[in-house]
Amino acid sequence: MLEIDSKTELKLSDSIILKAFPEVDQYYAFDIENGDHFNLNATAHWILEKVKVNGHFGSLVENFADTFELEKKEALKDVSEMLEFALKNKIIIRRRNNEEKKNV
Amino acid sequence: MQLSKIITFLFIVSFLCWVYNFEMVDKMAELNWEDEFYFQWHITERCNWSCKHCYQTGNGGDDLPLPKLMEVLDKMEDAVNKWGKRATVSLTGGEPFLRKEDLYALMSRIDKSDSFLYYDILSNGSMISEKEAWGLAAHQKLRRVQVSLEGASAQTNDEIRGSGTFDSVLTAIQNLRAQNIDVSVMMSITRKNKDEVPALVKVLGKMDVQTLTLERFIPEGHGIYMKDVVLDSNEVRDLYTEIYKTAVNGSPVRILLYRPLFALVACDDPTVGALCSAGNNALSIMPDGTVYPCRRLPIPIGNVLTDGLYKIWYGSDVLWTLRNPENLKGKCRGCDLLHQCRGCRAIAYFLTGDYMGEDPQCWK
Repeated sequence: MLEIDSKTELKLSDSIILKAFPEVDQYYAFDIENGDHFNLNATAHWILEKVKVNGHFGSLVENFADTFELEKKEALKDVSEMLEFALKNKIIIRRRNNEEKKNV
Repeated sequence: MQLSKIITFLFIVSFLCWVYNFEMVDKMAELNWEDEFYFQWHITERCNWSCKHCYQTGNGGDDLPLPKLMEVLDKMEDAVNKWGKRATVSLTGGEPFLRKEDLYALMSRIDKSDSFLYYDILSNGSMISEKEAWGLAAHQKLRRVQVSLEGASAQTNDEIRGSGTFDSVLTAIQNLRAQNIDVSVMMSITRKNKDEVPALVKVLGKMDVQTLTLERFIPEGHGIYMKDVVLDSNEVRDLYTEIYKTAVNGSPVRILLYRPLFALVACDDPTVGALCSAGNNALSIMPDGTVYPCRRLPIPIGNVLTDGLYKIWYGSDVLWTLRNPENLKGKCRGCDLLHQCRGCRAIAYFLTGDYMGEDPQCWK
C-alpha cells in the first residue's frame, strides 16, 4: 500500500505524455523512455491532467468531488486508487521537495 | 456513432492495439493486432549513380559509424519487443553496398535476432556481382533484394538513371537469381514510362523476377523540377486499371497492388489497396539517425539516437496528425474507402504543400 495523505505533492513523471481523443472516448499515457503505454478511461485521464497542473493531493480530491458531484469519502477512494496505480507504474512521482521534507 | 467517428476510433485503436488496458486500476494483458513494424533504414546518403528523379537532396547527414548503427538496431529490437511485434527492415541508401562491410555486419546481426522477421536490401544493383550475390545468399533472413528499373528498354531507363544502368541492373538480377535470391523490381511511374509497364512485366517474367512494385513518381529531392512528368488523375486511373487487369490475368511476375489508390480499381479484392503506413506501423531512418514518417515524406520528427523511438512514436505531432483520418482534407476526408485507402500523404505534400491534403492523383 502506497502512502498518500492530504499533503502529498505529486507530479507527472517527466517521461510521460498524455493523449486524449474524447470524440472516440480514447485516452492514453505513454512513457517515452521505456515505451510503456496505458489505456486510460476518461476519469483517470482527467486526474492525470490535473496532477500535471497541480499535484496537491488534497486539492485534487476536492476538485474531483466537486467536478463529478461525489461525496468526499467516495472521491478520496477513487482518486487514491487511481494515484496508487499511477505511482506504482511510475506514471506519476512524488515531488522531490516533498520527499526531502519527509526524509528530514 | 457517426461513420467518421467509427473510422477514427478504429484507426486509433489499430495504432494503439498493443496498449496496456487500464480501467482505473487494472493492468491487462497486451493485445496484439498487427505483427510487424517496418523500418526503412538509409545507412548512407552516398550513391554512385545520379538518377534524375531521386528523392535524395544530398542533405541526409553524415553516415553513422558501425557502433552507432548497432545502437540503432538495439533500439529497434527494444521497441518491437515492447510492442509485441517483430521488425522488418529495408537496408538501403544511397547505395548501401558503398558501405559493404557495415552492411554485412548489420545483416549478420539481424540474422541472429529473434526480434527481426526478415530484411530486404534496396540497391541500384550496380555492385551486385556474382561474388556479391553468392555472399548475400548465405544470409538467412534476407527476404529479397530490390533494384529499380524505369522502363522496359535501356533507352527509357537510362534517360532517367544514366547511361549503362539498364544493362547493369539486368546483370544484377541475373546474378541474384543465379543464387536463388528473390528479386523485386521497382518502377517510379511517370508520364515518360507509364506505357512500358506491360513490356517490363514481360522482361521481368523472362528473368524470373518475383515481384514488381509500381510507385507513383513524387517530385521531391533531385526530382523536384520534374513536375511535368507527374501523371494526372485520369492517367493514373487508366494505368491502374490496366495494371490490375495484368496482375490478375496471369502476369508472369507478381505485381504488388497494396498501394493507395489501387482500392479504387477493385475495392472488393482484398489483395488490392493499402492504408499509408506513415504514423501507423513504419518509420524511416536517415543516415545520421534523423527519423521521417516515410522516406517520401521527409519531415524530420526526431533522431533515433538522441530522442529514441518511443519519444518519436508517442510524441510526434506529425505522426498524431497522420494517424487521425479526421485531419484529412478535400476528397480524402469522408471518403467511403477510408478503411482501404487514405491516399499518398507524400504526393499530397509535394503537390499541394499540405500532407493531409487530398491525394491530387485520385480520380474518385
